[in-house]
Amino acid sequence: MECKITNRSELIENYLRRELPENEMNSFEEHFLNCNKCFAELQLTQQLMGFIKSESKELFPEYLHISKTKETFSLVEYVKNLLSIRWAIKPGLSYAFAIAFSGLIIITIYNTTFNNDSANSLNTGQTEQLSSNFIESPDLESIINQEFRSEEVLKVLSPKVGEEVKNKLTFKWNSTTSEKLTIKILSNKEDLLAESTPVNNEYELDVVANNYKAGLYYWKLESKDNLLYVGKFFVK
Amino acid sequence: MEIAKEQEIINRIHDGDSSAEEELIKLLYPRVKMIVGSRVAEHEVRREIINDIFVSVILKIRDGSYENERESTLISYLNGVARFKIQNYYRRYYRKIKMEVNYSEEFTDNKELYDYIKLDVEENEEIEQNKKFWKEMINKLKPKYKNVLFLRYYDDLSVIEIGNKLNISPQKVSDYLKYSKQLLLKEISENKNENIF
Repeated sequence: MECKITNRSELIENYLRRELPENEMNSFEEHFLNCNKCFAELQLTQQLMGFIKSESKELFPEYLHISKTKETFSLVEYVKNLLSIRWAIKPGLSYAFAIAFSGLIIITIYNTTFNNDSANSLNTGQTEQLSSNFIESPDLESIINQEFRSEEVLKVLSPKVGEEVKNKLTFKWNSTTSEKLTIKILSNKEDLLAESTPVNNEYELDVVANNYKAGLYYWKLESKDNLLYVGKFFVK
Repeated sequence: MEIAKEQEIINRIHDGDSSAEEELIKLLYPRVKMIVGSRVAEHEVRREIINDIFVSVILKIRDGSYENERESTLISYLNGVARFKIQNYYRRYYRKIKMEVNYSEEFTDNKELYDYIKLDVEENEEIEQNKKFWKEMINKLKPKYKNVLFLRYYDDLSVIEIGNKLNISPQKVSDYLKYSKQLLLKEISENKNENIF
């Protein structure tokens, strides 16, 4: 039988992702029952998708950071492109940019070396440490507040993303699965600070008693096999 | 399946040739499995439904009622039976009636056929067997193809989103996907790995 399907790959992917309307799904099934070419590609795509989903973390970890690294550096790439275009148009601009940049560096060095603000009780080392506690984790930021499960399965009730806390923070969620979920609290450097599997879908964190320093913190909800939610909060 | 081939199998099954039954199952089992698998998630239930489909079709051919009531090709008939069985499963499921199908009574006279159907391996086992093979196949691809495959099937990005990430046109992304699949199909056919498919 000669196959007349022109958009085979697209049709197959939509079929496997359950994105075809029922009538199209039925007619494609009727077709691949008879068409060897379509069925071979359908099986290949199904196995390939299954394999990549289940084994990539273990077998190809280097390929799983493409989207994140590209996102992180997209601004740098954009500025680079912008500069390269301008330099190509007006070479003189490169000198102007170099002078302005050098000036900026000199001012920054002057400020950090000689400008001692007596009102500020923190020394430079402490300030640096404090500010480093607020640096975002690119990996976690890229997946914050994403719905890994539908709202019917998991709904996070509190805290809001980016909530500020002084003393205590209550984490609450509704889950329709019978499996108990594990909550993990992480520093902005992704160090695990606390972990619990509460029975009532609620967890209270006392940041004062646990000596949490001012900074950015992340929290995760996980089932036995999957990451279900990532949120963040700030300790003041 | 060609009409002539189909008729030959029907005649042989009707005449009591059990090897024709096995031939029919071998030929169509993966495709029926795909149809049922796209609608039913649970492996055990899926297997029971597939068995039920083949049992129904073969019994109809055996007793001649398929030929008497024939309105379409065998493939179309099989597809119709598959849809009916899946709907039936969901009807029972929603009524919370447990599926209890005992094939052994119907197939006491054809033990081999029943055993063949039972031999279908667990999907997890299949993946485990094929893991090494797929790893080798994917490693043979150039990084640009791998990038596209992982962004598409791991990150579930659309062709347009992948194009934006990699600074290439969506058409190029589709071409890369198509080409990498062609390469994999070629490799598979050259390697003739029986575990795959």
